[in-house]
Parts: sequence; structure tokens; C-alpha cells
Amino acid sequence: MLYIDQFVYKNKMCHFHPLEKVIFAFVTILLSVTTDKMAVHLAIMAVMLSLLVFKAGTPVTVVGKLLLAPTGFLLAGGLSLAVTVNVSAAGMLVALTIGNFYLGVTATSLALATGVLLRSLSAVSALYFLVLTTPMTDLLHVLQLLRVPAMVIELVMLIYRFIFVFIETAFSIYAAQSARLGFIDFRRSITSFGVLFANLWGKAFFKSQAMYNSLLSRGYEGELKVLSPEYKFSLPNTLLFVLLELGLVSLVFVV
Amino acid sequence: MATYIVSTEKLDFTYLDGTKALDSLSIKIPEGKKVAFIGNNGAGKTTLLLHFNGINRPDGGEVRYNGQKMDYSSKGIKELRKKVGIVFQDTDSQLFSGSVYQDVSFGPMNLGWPEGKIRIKLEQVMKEAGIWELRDKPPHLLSYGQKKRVAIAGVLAMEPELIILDEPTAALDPVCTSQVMSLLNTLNTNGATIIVSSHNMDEVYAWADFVFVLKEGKVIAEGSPINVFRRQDVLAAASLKNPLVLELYDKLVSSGMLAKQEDVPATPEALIALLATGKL
Ligand SMILES: Nc1ncnc2c1ncn2[C@@H]1O[C@H](COP(=O)(O)OP(=O)(O)O)[C@@H](O)[C@H]1O
Ligand SMILES: [Mg+2]
Repeated sequence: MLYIDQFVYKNKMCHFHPLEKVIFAFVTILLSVTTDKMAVHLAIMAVMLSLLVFKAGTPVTVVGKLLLAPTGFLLAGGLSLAVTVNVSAAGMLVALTIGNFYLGVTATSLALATGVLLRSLSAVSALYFLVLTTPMTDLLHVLQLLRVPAMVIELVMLIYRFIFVFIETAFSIYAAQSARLGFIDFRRSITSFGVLFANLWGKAFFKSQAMYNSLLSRGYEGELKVLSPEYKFSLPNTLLFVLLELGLVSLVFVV
Repeated sequence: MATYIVSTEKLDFTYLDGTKALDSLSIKIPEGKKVAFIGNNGAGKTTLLLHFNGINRPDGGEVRYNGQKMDYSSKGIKELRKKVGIVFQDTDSQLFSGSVYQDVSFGPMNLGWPEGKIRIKLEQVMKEAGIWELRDKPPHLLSYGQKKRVAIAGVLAMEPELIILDEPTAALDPVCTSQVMSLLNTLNTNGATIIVSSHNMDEVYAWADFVFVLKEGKVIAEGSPINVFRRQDVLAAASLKNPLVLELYDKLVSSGMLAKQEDVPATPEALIALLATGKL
């Protein structure tokens, strides 16, 4: 299974202060949604992806695979924007006749589609930059700095942990079932899935009970207080982000 | 007179579904010792251990800590849990946080120590447990043995005087097992009382100072390992096996290949050393 955390916790930008990365990513996303200029979007993608690959050391294949996921969606969405239906073929670059209508692509619809596609990809690459360089615990630390209520942070922490406990439990039940031919045909599969879900809930319930007991044993009193590693702001890192951001913003006025 | 850190008096405990897990159970745990509870699955080991820090509360009888009847007020429980640390059998359910470092920090944070003291303690216990290199990893990327050591470190970081481990070495590989056992020895030398539950007879025989045998919620034997493990009736009743070292030693003595010893060897190493020197 591909857990992206595998690359996150030891990436080479891990020691950057999470707030620096969060601000950089969000300012860039803001830039991406507010500008129409294609060159800016392309520049954002180039900056974010090269930071990921060259500075953080995230494997190209991982970045590629992750980018492929939204690209599929975006292409499908883009297609529906690019294709227009009209009673005349005027202005259409290519057109298909269906009865009295023309199905085709106009210059404006094409521009609209590429615009949306590029904008989404640039915003997504900025988000990926954040997600792939900043471990969950660091993001929670930023939420804490932003005065998000402790309750919300604790919930996110537990959900994050339980997602994996859940996946692993489901997977081990699935493996045990398929080893005994639980998925040999359609009817058996339906039955096995039913059993899997029922068991998953049962197990999740017991695991949460066990977790509660173990938290109590370590002095839990309704608040999940933990200590994060020490984060340090660094002038060179901040400077790097500021310069990159200034470069991207000034591009808006130049092109 | 020996002092007892925990004792129970006619302890009864019944689960909500009617399972009587502990049945009029009376035990005394000597302070500063390495104590083992053995017994098959379902004998009541976990249920009993959870009485020692107040997670389970008796339906009948009582539990004493340092001679005092346990105080189940929230203040009393809080004080108790500062002194008693439990490492649970299900390691996955013990780890809740996004990184090893954060997880181990949870107990000390609850103790309200100053941050500087906590950071020093964290580094020390994580190095002792051999997980310092793993501090930034999220728990789901750890192996089982590593998770176990994180769970142990999370409890040690609180400096408990009584450390309880529920089947700590079940499903650990031999190297991990001996690391854990020697860590427990060090802690014991430094003054902590250690309680483990186990169904690995070889391990208990080699390690423990004092053994309790549980069966169906009752204690059916107690004493030093050598005395308990010599009682075939007890082992048979609890469906437990002989420790291999003891069995081999007895065979060697009865077949005349080895002289009877004052101190019966507890570990394979001791037996091998004997074979070199103690021949008839
Ligand atoms: N949460 C529970 N609800 C009902 N019965 C339980 C529960 N936990 C344990 N038991 C029962 O209590 C008995 C003792 O269990 P346990 O203390 O877990 O034994 P051990 O740890 O020695 O394997 C068993 O018969 C078990 O089925
Ligand atoms: Mg148990």
C-alpha cells in the first residue's frame, strides 16, 4: 500500500518551520485562484514541483502518481467546458453535426477549459507541496498556533491515527477471508463483505475501548496534551520562500 | 518483614455479560521484585492487572496499594496512575498520536512537568528503548517490535514505581524479546517493581523472582519459579508446559549425567556452563 507519509516524515524540508511552509503554500494558492494568466500558473507548477523533487527529495514517481489522480478528473471536467452545443457552427474550430445542432469547440471555450485546467493544477501542486513536505503532526502544530480549539485538533489527531488502524484491520480481515476463498464468486463476495463490515465495527469498538483504557493509564483527563519537536524559524528558509513568492507575484504584472 | 506494593483480598470481578473473571482472589506482590503471572488465555491475567491501576474496580473484596485500601476518588485515581504504569497487550490501541515523539510525550505532559525536564526525559527513555532514531515516524510505519518499544517508552517516561506489562513479549522475535527483558531488568535494578503476564514458561522461569499461576480467575499456586515449576500437578491443572531448561536439567540429573546442584540453573547459558564444569 502506498502511504504518502512514508516520504513525508523524512523529506529534506521536514525541518523547515511548518508555519513558513503553510503560509507559502496558502499565499501561492491564493495567487493561483486570483490570476488568469497562464504563464503564472505554469510558473507556480514549475516552482512547486521542483521544490518537491529537488529540494525535498520526494521521488518523481510519487509526485507523478499523485498528480495523475486529479488530472484525470480535471481532463474530464475540462472536456465538458471545452465542448459547446449551438445551432450554428459559427466560430467553432472543429464541429460535429447532430441533427439540427452542432457540437464543437470554440476558441473561447477552449481558452476557458485550459484556464480552468491550469489553474486547478497549479493550486493542486501548491497543496501537494505542503502535504508532501509537512507531516500531520506539524500541521496540527500550526492549527494550534492559529488558536484552533484543542478539541478540533485532538479529533483530527485521533482520526488520522484511526484511519490507519481501520485500514489495517480491514485489510487483515480481508486477507484472512480471501485466503479461505471468501471472494471466490459473486455470492460469496457479498456475504464476505457483510461479515467484514460487521467485524470491522466490532473490532473498532474494542480497539477504541482499549485505547481509552491505555490513555487513562497514562493520566488522560480529557485533554490529549502532547509535546511536538522544537521548530525553529530560519532566516534563509523564510527568505527563500519570500523571494519565490515575490517572483511569482511580479510575474502577474510582467506577462 | 517484606512490604507489599499491591495486594488483593478475596477479589471478585464479573464482566457485564456475566463472565466471572476473578473469583475470590487473594495475592500479595512484594515490592522491588520481578513478578510474573502465568496462566492460559482467559485465566484472568488481564482482568487482574487492570485492577492495579483502578481501570477495573472490584465487585467484591478489595485491592490495596502500599497497604492502603485503594482510593477510587478522582484524586486518588490520579495519584495512583502517576505511580503505576501499564503497557497493554494490544500495542496498536496504545499509540494514538501522529509521531513517536509526541506519543511518548503524552504521559509526562499529563504529569505537568516543565517542558525542559520532559524533553530530557524523552530523549533518555527513547534511547534506552532503542527508538530515538524513530522519533519522527508515524506509528503506522513501525514494525510490531518497534511499536511495542514505543508503548513501553511511553510508560517509562512517567517514571512509575510499579511497571505492569501485559504479555509484553507475545509475538516479539527472540532478539526483541531479550532486549525487552533486559530493559526490564535494568528498571528493576533501579528500584521499580515489575509485573508481567506471560504464557512463555522458559522466559518466566529464567526471569522472574516470584510467580503466580492463575486458572479460571483463581490463584492455584505461587512461589519462586523453581518451586512452582516443580509442581507437575499445578502445571497440568493450568495446562502449562515445563520450562525447557528445568526439564533438561532434571533429565540430566536423573540419568546420572550431571551432579545435583544447590542452585538449579535458570537460563540455557547457566545450564551450558554447568555441563562444562559440573559433570559427574
Ligand atoms: N470485556 C469483556 N467482556 C466480557 N468478558 C470478558 C471481557 N474481557 C475478558 N473477558 C472474559 O474474562 C475472562 C478472563 O479474561 P482475561 O482477563 O482477558 O484473561 P487473560 O488475560 O488471562 O487471557 C475470560 O473468560 C474472558 O472471556
Ligand atoms: Mg490477556
